[in-house]
Amino acid sequence: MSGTRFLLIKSWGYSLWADVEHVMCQLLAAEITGRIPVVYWGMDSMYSESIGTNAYELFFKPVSSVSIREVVNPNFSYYPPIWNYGNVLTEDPDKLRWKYRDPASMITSDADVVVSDVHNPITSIIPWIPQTHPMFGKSPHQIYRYLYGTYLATKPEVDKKVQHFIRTHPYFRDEKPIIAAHVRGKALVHEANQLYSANDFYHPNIWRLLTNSGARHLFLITDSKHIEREYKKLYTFNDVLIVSNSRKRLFHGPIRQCNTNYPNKRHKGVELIQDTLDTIKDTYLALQCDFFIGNGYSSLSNTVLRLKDWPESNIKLVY
Amino acid sequence: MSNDRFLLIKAFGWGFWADMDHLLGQLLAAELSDRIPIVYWGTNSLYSDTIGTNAFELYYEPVSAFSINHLLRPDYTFYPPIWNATNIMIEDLDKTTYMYRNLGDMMNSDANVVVSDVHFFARPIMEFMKKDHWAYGMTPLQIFRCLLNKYFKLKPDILMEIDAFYNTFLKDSAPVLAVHIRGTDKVQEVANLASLNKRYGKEIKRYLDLYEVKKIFFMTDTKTILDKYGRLYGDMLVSTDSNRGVDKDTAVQLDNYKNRRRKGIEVLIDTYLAARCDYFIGNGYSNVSFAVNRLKDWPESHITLFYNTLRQDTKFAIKRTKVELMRRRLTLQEHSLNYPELYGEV
Repeated sequence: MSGTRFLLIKSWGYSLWADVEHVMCQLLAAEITGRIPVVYWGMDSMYSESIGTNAYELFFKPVSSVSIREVVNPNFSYYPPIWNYGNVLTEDPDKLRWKYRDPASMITSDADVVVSDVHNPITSIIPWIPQTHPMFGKSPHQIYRYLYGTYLATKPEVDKKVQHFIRTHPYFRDEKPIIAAHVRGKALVHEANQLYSANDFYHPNIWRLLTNSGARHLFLITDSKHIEREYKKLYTFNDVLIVSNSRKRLFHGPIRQCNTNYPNKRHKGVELIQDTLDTIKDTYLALQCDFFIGNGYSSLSNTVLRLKDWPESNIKLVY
Repeated sequence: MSNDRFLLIKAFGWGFWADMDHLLGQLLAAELSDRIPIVYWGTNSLYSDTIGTNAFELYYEPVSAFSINHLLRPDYTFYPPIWNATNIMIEDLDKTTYMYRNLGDMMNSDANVVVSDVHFFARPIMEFMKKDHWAYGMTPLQIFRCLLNKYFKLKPDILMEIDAFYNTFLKDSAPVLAVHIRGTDKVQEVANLASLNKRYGKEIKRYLDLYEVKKIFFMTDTKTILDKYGRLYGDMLVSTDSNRGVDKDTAVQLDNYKNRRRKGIEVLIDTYLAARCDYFIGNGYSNVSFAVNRLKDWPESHITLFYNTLRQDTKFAIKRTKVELMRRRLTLQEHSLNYPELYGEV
């Protein structure tokens, strides 16, 4: 047994920003337990490119100076007990049974390496924050702001893409204020006794901002061509609409790698990296805007909320 | 004038978890409007026992250190203006008109006591949330989960009954799948209920295959549904001895129990037991199912709630509106025939 303890944060296997949220929650767990966090998105990640790459580091800077190689050590003990030196980089097909994955047993484990591959929400980790931690007594939003601000740093490629978009879109560059709207193709809300589309609540909020706040443009982020067409029909005046140039691709939930539908599987890595960089670029472009309207159930919208200290009146998440 | 600010949350008068949904929303409203919540389920509650009882406190510990008796002060001001210190225990039968029940007015009222007796969904209440509130940035489901944990503490005897059943029938049988199927009067509320109920069989099989489920904890308000699933799953099926109806006219929540407290306890035991199971399949239109969803932070893959499609729901809503308009027309016609003098005829 060695003195240094690690928290290996593997991919949760959902959309990009949902996986990032999982990383952030686990970074809080790492701080609480005094473990060195190591993020590794291997072949089980939706965003993996090849067996030798850590997909997280294709897009973001590492969260610590320790690499995955240092965590794979025959002398280390692992928790949950299914893991060992030989299999820790593989995916557990039974992880959805949640066995040994409750926050309490993970946080109290004495193993050298705790492996996290399922998402435990921040509310289940907050009760473990000790009084000495700077986030003790803070709200989930404040904690998210701290975590995203401290740990999430994009690679220079993303910054270049963001800058390129701004440079090549003079309306975006020169004509502020701008409202960013993130509209999902699938926005069905299932609440108690209610079923509705969150998209029905966007237009009144957009019009309110356009008329009351003097916004000059609406920057649309969407994964749906249908939504893009709808907005192009509605916001025709004064070239008000700026549409993100990202490819429109609906996220259909976790899919096993063998079932991904890239026409040429050898090109998958390249295409997927481009698509993912576009998603990140859109998110950071939204941060450049003055107002934001998003979907409260969307990880992308919530990331926009957490990455910037928005004035309360300038951001609206639809629930 | 006193600066005291209270929110008196009265019973909505529906099923147990429908009233709890109303209560959760109002607890959030109390926090957002900086008021001390006082819960009072009077005689209009389907679960109240006697005239002197606060039915909520038959099941849960009080949510604050104050009771309705603290509000019986003639110097207090009240909102909506129909209320005063002498009548706040009474049920207002006109509340469904929502007269004076505008949420914005209630939230911004300066009265010492705001009385809430009608239901609002979480979404409009959340419009009043400020950035420094602990729930900022959370979804309604996440907020209500936290509120449930924060405010609701079951009475010890109910908790003991839940523990006893769990330890006897479920504890050593993990993984357990909980299933909740509605019948009786829900057919009037949810269009297409029969079709929703047909989807359970396939979903139960999926869970059984995927997660090697050992027991099914079964909740239903209908005896025929329990019998049917009992035949299908035999010893695998476990259920409590709750009272059950047979058709839309024998809804359990409307049944006149000899001991009305028992009626609430039965639904509470079922709900809390389901939340202790590993997986759950329920009806998205049922407050009981949604309460199970709220009592625990379920991994997405461990819970299924059935809904119609949005297109179906829209179609049913249009149909319901047409029927309602026709009913109103007929009522008006009947009224004009019975009271012609009110319609300019002699």
